[in-house]
Amino acid sequence: MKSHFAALAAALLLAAPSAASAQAGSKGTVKVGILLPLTGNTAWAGKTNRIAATIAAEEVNAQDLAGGYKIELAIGDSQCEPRAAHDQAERLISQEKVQLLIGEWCSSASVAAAQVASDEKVPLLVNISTADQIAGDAGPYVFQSSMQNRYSQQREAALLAKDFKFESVAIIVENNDFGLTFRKNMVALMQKAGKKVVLDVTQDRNDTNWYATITRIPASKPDLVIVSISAVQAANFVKQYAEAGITTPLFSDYPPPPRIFERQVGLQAGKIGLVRASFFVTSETNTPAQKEFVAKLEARAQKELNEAHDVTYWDVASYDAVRLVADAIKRGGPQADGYLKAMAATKADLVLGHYEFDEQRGARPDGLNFVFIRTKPDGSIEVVQ
Amino acid sequence: MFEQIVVNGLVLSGGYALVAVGLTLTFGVMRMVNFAEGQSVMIGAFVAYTAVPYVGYVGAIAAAMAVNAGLGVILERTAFRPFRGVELNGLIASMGMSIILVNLAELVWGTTPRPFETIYNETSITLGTVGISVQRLLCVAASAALLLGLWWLVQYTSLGRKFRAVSEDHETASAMGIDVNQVSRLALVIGSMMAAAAGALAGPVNMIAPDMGRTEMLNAFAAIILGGFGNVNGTILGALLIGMIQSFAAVYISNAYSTSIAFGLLVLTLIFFPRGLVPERVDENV
Amino acid sequence: MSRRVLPIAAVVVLAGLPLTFGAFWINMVITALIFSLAVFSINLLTGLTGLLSFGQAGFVGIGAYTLGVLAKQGYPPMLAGFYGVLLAMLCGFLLGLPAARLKGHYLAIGTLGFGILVYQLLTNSVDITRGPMGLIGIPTGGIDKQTWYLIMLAVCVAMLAALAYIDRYSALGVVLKMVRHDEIAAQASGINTFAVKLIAFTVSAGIAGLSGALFAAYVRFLTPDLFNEQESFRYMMMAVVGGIGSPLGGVVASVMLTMIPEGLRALGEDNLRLLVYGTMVLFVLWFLPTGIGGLVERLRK
Repeated sequence: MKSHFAALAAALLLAAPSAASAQAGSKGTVKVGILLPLTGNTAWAGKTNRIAATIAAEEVNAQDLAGGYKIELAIGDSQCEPRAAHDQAERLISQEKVQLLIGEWCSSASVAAAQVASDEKVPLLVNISTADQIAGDAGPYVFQSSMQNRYSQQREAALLAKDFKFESVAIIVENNDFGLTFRKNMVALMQKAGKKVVLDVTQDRNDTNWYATITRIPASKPDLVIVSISAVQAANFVKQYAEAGITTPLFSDYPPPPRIFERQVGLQAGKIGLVRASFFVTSETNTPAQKEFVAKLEARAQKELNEAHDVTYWDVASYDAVRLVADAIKRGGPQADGYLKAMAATKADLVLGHYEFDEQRGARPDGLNFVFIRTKPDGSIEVVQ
Repeated sequence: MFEQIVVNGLVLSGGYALVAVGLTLTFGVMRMVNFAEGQSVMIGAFVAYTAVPYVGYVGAIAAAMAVNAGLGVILERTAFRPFRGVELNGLIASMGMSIILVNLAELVWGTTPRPFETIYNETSITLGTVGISVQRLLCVAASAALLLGLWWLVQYTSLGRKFRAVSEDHETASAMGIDVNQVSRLALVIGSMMAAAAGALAGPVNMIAPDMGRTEMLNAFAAIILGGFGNVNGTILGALLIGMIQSFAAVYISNAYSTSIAFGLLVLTLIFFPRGLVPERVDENV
Repeated sequence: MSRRVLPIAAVVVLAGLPLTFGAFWINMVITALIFSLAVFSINLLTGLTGLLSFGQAGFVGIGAYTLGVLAKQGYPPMLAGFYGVLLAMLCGFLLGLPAARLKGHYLAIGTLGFGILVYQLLTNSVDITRGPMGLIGIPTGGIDKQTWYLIMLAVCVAMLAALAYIDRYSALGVVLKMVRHDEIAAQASGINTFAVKLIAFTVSAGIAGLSGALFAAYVRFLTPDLFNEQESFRYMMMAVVGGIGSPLGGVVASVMLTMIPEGLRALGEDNLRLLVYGTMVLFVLWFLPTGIGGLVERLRK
């Protein structure tokens, strides 16, 4: 009896290593470059994105999710800046010899990276930038897994029509690509819905003084104010809006990151009753996959950065991107032709939702997470829908 | 709405003036523009932010000014004194210092923008149709007080006389026994302290981040052109003008071009007044 | 004899370098050489003629966007680039008209204002330039990096030679330098200093515009942020570190200040690297007041 056990045990032990060697690494390593802002004024977000991506790569390798290939990440600090993105993409390709690329955060940097990717024929997955048509404009080597601005704006317009009673609207935007496309799309959507645009302001994105704009709001008497202003500037705006004591309801486009934003201006946002769109927010309405990811990332971020971290969309997108890349490698191999075909045929369920690509290589928006949240007077968040 | 715009303009002007007088003092005495001035504002804001839990807000402003006084001494020694006579190099040296300061700040405080909360931010006063938070009111009042103090210093004290003497002709001043290096150092110290006040006062209005201060500096440049390099009174008036014009232009013309408007105005002024609105009393040696 | 041979030998060696370096470093060098043209524009304007300008990025941007917009509309890139340089020169002339009457720091801030105006125009004219959305896919592809390197090397050598000629052998150079040294004496000698300054502004703007056009052709994407006032400051820094009157120093400084931050990446992907960069700039200024160019001159003697 014992000897049978022993034999069985021995057989299992012998089998185990060979099973392991059939796993990750047996077909070699694929180097994947990631472009992130690690220095400069968006570095506060980039650092955790890197951790999220690393977690994903470790999981891919441990669970052999890349069809026998191991993934090795190479990081490029592109500072959210096009020239740096261009140089880093070049460096990752020529020095680090990456076969595949992921990135970037800021649309102008992604555009630059897309240019390099197309020229050098290295597939790029744009995972965070939401500018319209990056993949479509850049050619066959570029895919975009983030939901493009026009799709999020359509959803926002639908929500506004459903939940807000208004006849006149004020549209205030920053002059960056979010703001400008938001303005263009919203003005068109509002006019189609028969609403009157009583104030239409575009502000220089480096100008932190919103008082002039805010002064014009009560003068033009809108029923609703909709804005597209990103992160820090949004905080400035909300602060100044609350201070001016304006009671008109305020809706914001996607940029201000939940919880981080609330830490900065939660009370003011709550006082106004700010409603905004978000790709992702940690809450009880999260799917199990999302909750699992949040737990993993928060623990790791606490350990590595020694500070508590609120998971953002950008973290999720970084994680999902590595998983998408692995999935495409599994089905099509790491060589460009097979990889691109596999990516085009992706049907994956990851943390942010269901990923599929259209003929222009942009992600189909229907399966992706998109929520609306309202800040309550005590500064906390509730998910509206 | 008109009154609101005026009040907004005053708040802007106060901030610009504090930064601009520092620049103008430095220029008057050392003939060099301090490109690290924006970073002085930023450091003032961060020091105040860090100090508030220990010494309260007013104490924090004082703390910021004290730290920046030290910064002024360092700047004078590293970026200005070595370059007397080669002013362009001094200018570039201050650029190098500004890079160092921004990155030091990022290392110490991180790049996440932080909210600088003070109790004054929450309360707003409404006077007629004008709404203004107490914090911004404080900005205007404190700026006015500091500027008044500076004006009095330059007009009536012996230090002020020394500033004016060195500004006019530092060789003669030196020959007359004035310690030009000490005067230069004091100019930078006072300038940095003013910038610290600007940062500590305006910090609570928005988020603070290591890359702040650049727009303030650019607008301060515009103020100096209008008011005259080295001329403290003129600079204050220049700042007032720039703040007001920006405030009105943003409402009646365009927000997207806000920095352009100040500079467009500037370029226009220079076309008609190549020596600025208040020309320096500098004779050219023929 | 050796004075002629040395530069030629140097050029030959430099031309052969790409064969030894990796693609990434060639990319850095090409970018640095493109920047050095902007630095040359400052050498001419500030070094030679004594006119401060903090708005050169504006001219670079004009050259770049003209090539980008026209090339995307189907113009042949060379023609588009030519127009870019012309437009930059025109703007230089227009800026020069008021600017030539300004002195010292008024000129500095006035040109800064011009640079900011150009930047904001580029950002806000979304219909033409696509503003912050960026201009992507400028159709100047198909030239590999080795060829670009040789092109830029040739352009820079030509420009260096031209500037050296102007500086040492031409009447224009003499006149420019007189304006820098002592404008009143120059006027007293019958020189139309206003015209001279205009020429300096125009030519310098053209050189900067060329830098922009080449940049657009090389990287093939543009965003307005590439031409803001921080960039103007960068060019000025490179020019001063290289020695304001020394175009050769300017090239060396451009290459160094582009490649050193990259090389410093070993210090970690963060602020330490930029701290070192800033400190190095300070050190050069403290110990080499005439910049790298001055050092080269001294070594020669």
